[in-house]
Amino acid sequence: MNPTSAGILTLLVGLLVALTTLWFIARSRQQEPAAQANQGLYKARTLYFVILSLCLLAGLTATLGKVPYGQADAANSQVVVNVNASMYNWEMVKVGAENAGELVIPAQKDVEFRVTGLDVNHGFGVYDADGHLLTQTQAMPGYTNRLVYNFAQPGVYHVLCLEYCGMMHPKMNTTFRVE
Amino acid sequence: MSNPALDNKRITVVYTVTALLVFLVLALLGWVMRLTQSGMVQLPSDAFYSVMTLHGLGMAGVMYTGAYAALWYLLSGYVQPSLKLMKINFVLILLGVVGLIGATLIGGFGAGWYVLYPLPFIEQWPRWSSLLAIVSLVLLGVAWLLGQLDLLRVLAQRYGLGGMLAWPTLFGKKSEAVPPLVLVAAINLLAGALTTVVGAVMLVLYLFQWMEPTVSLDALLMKNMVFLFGHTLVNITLYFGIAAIYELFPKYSGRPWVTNRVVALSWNVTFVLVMLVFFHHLYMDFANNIALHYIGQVGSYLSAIPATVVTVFGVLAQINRSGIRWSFVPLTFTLGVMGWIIGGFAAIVDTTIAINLTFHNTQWVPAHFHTYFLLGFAVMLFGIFYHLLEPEAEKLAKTSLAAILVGGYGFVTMFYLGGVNSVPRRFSGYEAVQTGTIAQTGHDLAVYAVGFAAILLVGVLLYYAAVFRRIGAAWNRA
Repeated sequence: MNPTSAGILTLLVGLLVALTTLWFIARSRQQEPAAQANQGLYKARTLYFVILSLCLLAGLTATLGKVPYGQADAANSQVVVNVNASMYNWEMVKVGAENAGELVIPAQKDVEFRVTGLDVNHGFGVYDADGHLLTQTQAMPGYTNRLVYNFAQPGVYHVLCLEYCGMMHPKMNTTFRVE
Repeated sequence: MSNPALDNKRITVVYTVTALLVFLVLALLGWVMRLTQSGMVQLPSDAFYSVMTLHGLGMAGVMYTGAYAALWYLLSGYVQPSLKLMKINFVLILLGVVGLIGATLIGGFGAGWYVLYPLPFIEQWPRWSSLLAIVSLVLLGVAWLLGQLDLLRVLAQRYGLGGMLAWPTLFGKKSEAVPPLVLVAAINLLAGALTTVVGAVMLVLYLFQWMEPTVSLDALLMKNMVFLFGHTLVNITLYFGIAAIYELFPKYSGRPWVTNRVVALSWNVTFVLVMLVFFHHLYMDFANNIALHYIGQVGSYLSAIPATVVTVFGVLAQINRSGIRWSFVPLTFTLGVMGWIIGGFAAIVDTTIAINLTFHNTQWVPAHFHTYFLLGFAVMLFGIFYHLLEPEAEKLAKTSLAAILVGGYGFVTMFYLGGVNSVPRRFSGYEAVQTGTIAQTGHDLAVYAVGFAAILLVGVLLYYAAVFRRIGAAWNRA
C-alpha cells in the first residue's frame, strides 16, 4: 500500500469513527434502562469482533509476506553498494567500481545497499526526484543493514537522512544516478 | 486535625496545577518548532533541537505524571497509598524537570526524547549538559518507579496479587470482582514497573558511558531498551487515562461499569501486548532479530481487539440511549476515546512493516502520536482534571473543547499530509532539501499548522481560565 492509499484509508476510518461517535451521542437523547438499551449493542459487539478479527487476519496475511528482510540473501544481487553514514555525510561506493566519483547503478537490477553508521544512528532514506520516499533502512554503528531495491526507472535519486543525528541533520543529503 | 481525604485531594491539586502549567510551556515550545519550520521564526538549528528534546521528554513526562496523579487520587478511594512518598516524588519530579530544562535550554542538550545511543555522548553540547540530562531522567525514573511500586503494594495488600489482576473473575471462581479501575491500574502499573527497571538499567549504562568515554555499548541493544521503557511508559500513560474513565464515566451516565470475564481477559492480554509492541520502533533496523519484527506487527494489530471490542464498546454502552446530560466531562471522555481510536488506527497503519518502509520517520509519526496523545489522552485528562477541580464553568470549558478539537485536528492533519508526501520529521527547516517538492510542502504545511496550533492554544488557555476559576474551593474540598 502506497502512502497516499494509506492516507485515504486512514481518513475514511477516521471519518467512520467520528460519525459513529456522533451517532451514539445523538442516540443518547433517548433514555432506556441499560440492559434494554444495550441488548443490540452487545450483539453488534460480537459481529464487530468477528469482522475486526477477519480484517486483522487479512491485513497480516496481505502484508507480512512483503517485509524487506532477508531479501539480500534471496536476491543474490549483482550490484552491491557500501553505504557509510557519518555526521553529516553519505559515503556510497559500489563494490568493484574503479573510480570513486558519482555513484552510478544500473536500472532494473536488484541492488543491495550495505548500510552502516560510523558515529551515531542515521536513516538511509531513498527518494525519487519527485520527492517520493521509495525505501529506507537505518544506519547503525556496529551493524550492517542489507537493503535490496530494484530501480525501475533511470534518473537521479536522492538520499535524505531519516534518523535525527545532530544539529545539521536536515543537511545530510546526497544523490546518485541510475542508468 | 488531619483529614486524609483532604490531604490526598490537596497533593493531587498540586500535581494537577503543576502538570497543567508545564504542559502549557511545552505546548508553546511545540508551537515554536512549527513556527521555525514555517520560517516565521528564525531559531538556530541547535536551539531547535534543544527545544525539540525538551518538548518530547517533557510531554512524555508531564502526561505520565498527570495521569499518575489522577490515578493515585482515584485509587485512594479504595486503598491508602503513601502520601509521604507522593510528596517526596513531587520534589524528585520537580528536580528532574528543572534539570531537563537546564540541560536543554541552558546546556544545549539536544539528543531527542529517545536519546538514541550514542548521540548523547557525541560532543555537540557541553559534557555537563549530557550528565545533567541523564541524572534528571534518573530522578524522574526513580520517582515513577517508587510511585508504581507503592500503588502495587497497597493494591496487592488489599486485593492480593491475583485478585488485583481479576484472576478470580477470569478463572470463574466465585469472588467479588475488583473495580475496573483497580484492574486496569494494576495491569499497567505492573507493566510500567517492569519496564522502568529496564529503563533504569539503561540509564545506569549511560552514566557509566559518560564517566568512561572509551566504553562502547551495543547500539541495537540500547535502542531496544530505550523503546521498551519509553514506548511502554507512553502506552501505560494512555491506559491510566482509560482506567480513570472506567471509574468516572458511571458517575455521569448513571450506569455501572463492572469487571466481568471479558474485561478481565482483555486487560490481562493487554499486559502482555503492552510490553511486546515496542519492537515496531525497530522495523528499519534490519539487523534486529526478524522474529521480533513480526512480534511487533502481530502484537500491534492484536492490541486493537481489547482496546476496541472491550473499552470502546464499554464507553458506547455507557452512553447508548442513556439520556446522559452532556456536560464537559463525559464529552471529553467520549471525544477523547474517539481521538485515541483515530490515532490508534493511524498508528496500526504505521505498524505494518511493509507500510512503515515508506512512513518511518516521516511526519506520519508525529501525526498519529499527536492524535492519540493530544486529541485522545490530553482531552481525557482535561476532563479528569475538571472532574477533580469541579470549577463549574461548563460554558467556558465547552467553548475551550471546541477550539481544542478544531485547532487540534487541523494541526495533526498537516502532519498526516506531511507523511503522505514523504516529508521527514525532526527537520529544523526544509530549505536544504532539494528533493522534489519536499521543501515547499514541508514549509507550507508548517505555515498552516502554525495557524491551527494557535487555535488549539487559545482553546487550552480557555480551558485553563475555566478550570482555575475556583481553584481555592477545590483546595479546601475533600
